[in-house]
Amino acid sequence: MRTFLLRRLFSLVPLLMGVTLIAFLLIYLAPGDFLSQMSENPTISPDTIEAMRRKFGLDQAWYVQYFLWLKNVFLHLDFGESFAYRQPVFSVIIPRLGNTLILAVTAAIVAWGLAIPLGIISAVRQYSWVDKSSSLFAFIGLSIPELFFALLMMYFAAKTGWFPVGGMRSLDFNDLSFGGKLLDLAHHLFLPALVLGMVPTAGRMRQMRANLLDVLRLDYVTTARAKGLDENTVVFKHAVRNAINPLITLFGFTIASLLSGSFIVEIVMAWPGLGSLTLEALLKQDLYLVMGSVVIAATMLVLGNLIADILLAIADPRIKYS
Amino acid sequence: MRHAGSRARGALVVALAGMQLLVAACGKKEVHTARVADPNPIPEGAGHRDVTGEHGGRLVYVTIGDPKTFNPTLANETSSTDITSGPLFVGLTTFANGPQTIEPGAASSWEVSEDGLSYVFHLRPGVKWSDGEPLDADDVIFTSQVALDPKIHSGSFDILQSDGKPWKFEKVDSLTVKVTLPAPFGPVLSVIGSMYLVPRHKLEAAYAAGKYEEMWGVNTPANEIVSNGPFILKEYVPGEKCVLARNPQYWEVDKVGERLPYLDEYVFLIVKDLNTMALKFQSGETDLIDPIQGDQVPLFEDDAEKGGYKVYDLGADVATDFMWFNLNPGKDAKGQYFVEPWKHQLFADVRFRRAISHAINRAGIVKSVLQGRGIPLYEPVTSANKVWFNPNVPKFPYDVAKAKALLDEMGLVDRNGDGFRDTPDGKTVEFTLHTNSENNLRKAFGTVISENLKDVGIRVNFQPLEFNTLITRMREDYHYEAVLLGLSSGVPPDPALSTNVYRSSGLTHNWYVKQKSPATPAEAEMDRLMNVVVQERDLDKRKAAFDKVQEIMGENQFSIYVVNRNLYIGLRARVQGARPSVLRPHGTWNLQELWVKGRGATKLASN
Repeated sequence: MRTFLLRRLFSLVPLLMGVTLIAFLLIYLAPGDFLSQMSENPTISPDTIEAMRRKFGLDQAWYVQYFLWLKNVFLHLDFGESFAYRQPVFSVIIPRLGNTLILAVTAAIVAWGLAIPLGIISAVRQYSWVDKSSSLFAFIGLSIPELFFALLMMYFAAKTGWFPVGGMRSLDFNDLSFGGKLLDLAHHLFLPALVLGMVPTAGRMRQMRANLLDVLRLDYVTTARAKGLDENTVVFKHAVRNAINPLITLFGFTIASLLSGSFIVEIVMAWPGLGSLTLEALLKQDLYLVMGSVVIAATMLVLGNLIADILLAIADPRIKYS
Repeated sequence: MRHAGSRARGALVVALAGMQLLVAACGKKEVHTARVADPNPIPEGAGHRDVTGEHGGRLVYVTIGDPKTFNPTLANETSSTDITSGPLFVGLTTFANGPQTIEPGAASSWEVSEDGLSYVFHLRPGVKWSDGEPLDADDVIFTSQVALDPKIHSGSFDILQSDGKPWKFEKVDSLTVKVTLPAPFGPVLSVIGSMYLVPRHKLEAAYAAGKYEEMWGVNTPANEIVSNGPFILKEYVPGEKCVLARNPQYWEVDKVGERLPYLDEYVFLIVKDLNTMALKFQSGETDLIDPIQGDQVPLFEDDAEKGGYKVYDLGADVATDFMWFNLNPGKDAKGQYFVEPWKHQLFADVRFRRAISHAINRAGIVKSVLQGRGIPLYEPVTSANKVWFNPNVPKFPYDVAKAKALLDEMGLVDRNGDGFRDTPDGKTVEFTLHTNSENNLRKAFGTVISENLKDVGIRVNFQPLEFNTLITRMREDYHYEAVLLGLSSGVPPDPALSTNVYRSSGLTHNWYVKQKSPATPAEAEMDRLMNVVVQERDLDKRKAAFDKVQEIMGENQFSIYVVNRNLYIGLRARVQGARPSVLRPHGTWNLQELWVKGRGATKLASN
């Protein structure tokens, strides 16, 4: 197990190099650079812009810029500085990271917490009203685009006044008691988490249902029932445990997408997370800030897969790593 | 504080709002008690404003971007300067957007020498930074030092110079500063106002250590940032909000001698999505939307009464929309012409450009695209600019017959019966027109212009491009034929601050940038006149020269101006003292005078 983990962690290095190289190249190939938009300001002279370009190293060939960045990352763990903020990239990114995690983790807990039980009930009581209504919900959830749903919820909030129109905290948040703060946060979190959790809930629920239905038709389930085991043991101890394997793999991807899956929701619903920061950095071509986000997203992907593999080994004793 | 509306709310929300009200009331009580005592004496040299209002309350503004720095020397885009330039920091002079005049700022008065080469500024006695340290000549000298340091890349580096040589700042005594110019420069008082003062006592050590650019980034603790404007930084939460609180040391008082500003807090909420921004205003969570996006104006007007706000129509904006042809005759490194020579020959012919101007139905664009919210435009500087507008610029208005006659005269007629004109050697008269794809209204303008030109027999391939792609083509690559774009105005709107547009050597001299020597006699004349605009001190002479520049622009149609849109902002009805102007920041330029009706009264009652 330990060698497996170490191997996985080491594989992170070439992966990150590949991913960052592609990201760097893509940004470089996009027309213009961070200073292009500044050239539209008539009070700034071309000389000043050229001087800044030299200072930021943007006058160098792309591979020189990239290898310089890579060298600083490996030798000093220095991921570069944001051009716009003139601050190390992670000091800009970290404050946003927590906010994105709060939203994404809440949405994931809600999604998985609802999807697994509903999926199991739907399979065990196939064609019952629970099954039918949750199927209906799943189809609606899968067919509404996230962007549209987010806009719709903002409109709903504005018209009813039941929820704040976007944002994460009230203006008077700092003056609230601890309980008040939690309530305020929950009040703001409700709609974004709903929007973000809708699609995964629907998807996972359908998968859980289908997997379990397949398993329940297998011979060993019939055997178990024939042996006289009670139905709960048959379903939960034998069937669910086998049916849930593919979902554990999916759970790994969920972790991977925690930081990047909520971009649209964050932007539309004014959630102060990584999404809005990365979007702005991309539009402005704030090179190293984008690279910082890419590094984080790639790391999450690897870690997510790793966690999924470990969970699989725990759930299924047949799986062994060496 | 959420605006309590008459709408039904869930029980949870009501409970929550009640809790906030309680806590907020306690918080405000403290602030008020502190002010009654006012531990800080009003400075001897305080400025007076002839206004009255109630203290207290909060103004919530919503903005699309996070500030990038709180260092006024480095701030160079609006999401930062909206906070640093004016609310937090003030220069020696200020610009009043309403009357469009220069007013005293940190300096209460000044004298100019006979030759106009030296200015003496007198600082206000007794004025202090927000941390209580005195503001004196050393601060001004230090500010000029960092602004003119080529290693720092300050936003005012290029404008604090004349003839390529930096101005000299000297301390005369603790409250007097002398500025000496190496060469004549007209709008010194306008320019000096955009050198926002920074406190020497907080920043000198960092500057000496070569770390000035790292100072006052957005991660700096709020109380480290010491300012001299009406507000101080209270809190910045990335991606969420930036809260400014009143500066207890501010140096301006109202009619009855009470210290300004009236507002306790000025809040910038950060919202990246324009639809959400609009909804937030309409639901009462914010007090000011500035400006309202062009296509959303009707929605706001319909909702205004119910939403408890007012939509201000500020009339013609200072921003312009115009198109131009690429007149660059050069070739790239591979020997390829930027514009095919036969096309360049067309574009360079003034008759062709005038014909295009005659062909564009500006009134039609105003009516169909803007629903009447704008006027046709022919001038580089719009009527919103009270000082520099010239109504006598030559105009080539919508007249299809004249357009056709000019094109006929050039020998451009339809030779193959396809409905489009051809050159004598059989090439179809057509060009590609670009605009930035992010701007919906401008895309609509481009579509109408293409239709208009089709009517006179010119084929337009209209291709909106992403902004950065477009800029790269215009400023570095030069392979393009025509562009439709806009230009807004800086504040103060003095043409000496946008010389790069009119001078042939400028980077924003759109139709042919960075010319080594003027390509046409007209541009040579414009260069000469712009020198007068920049160097002359007498406003009448400057105005006469710039009038002539605009007339040359009109005569030659280097830029073909299209429309002048109206500008709209929305302001909640309870906000008092607003005098919106067409110049940025439209609603809050007189921030010191704004107050919130009812807020002050509520607070007094709770005491």
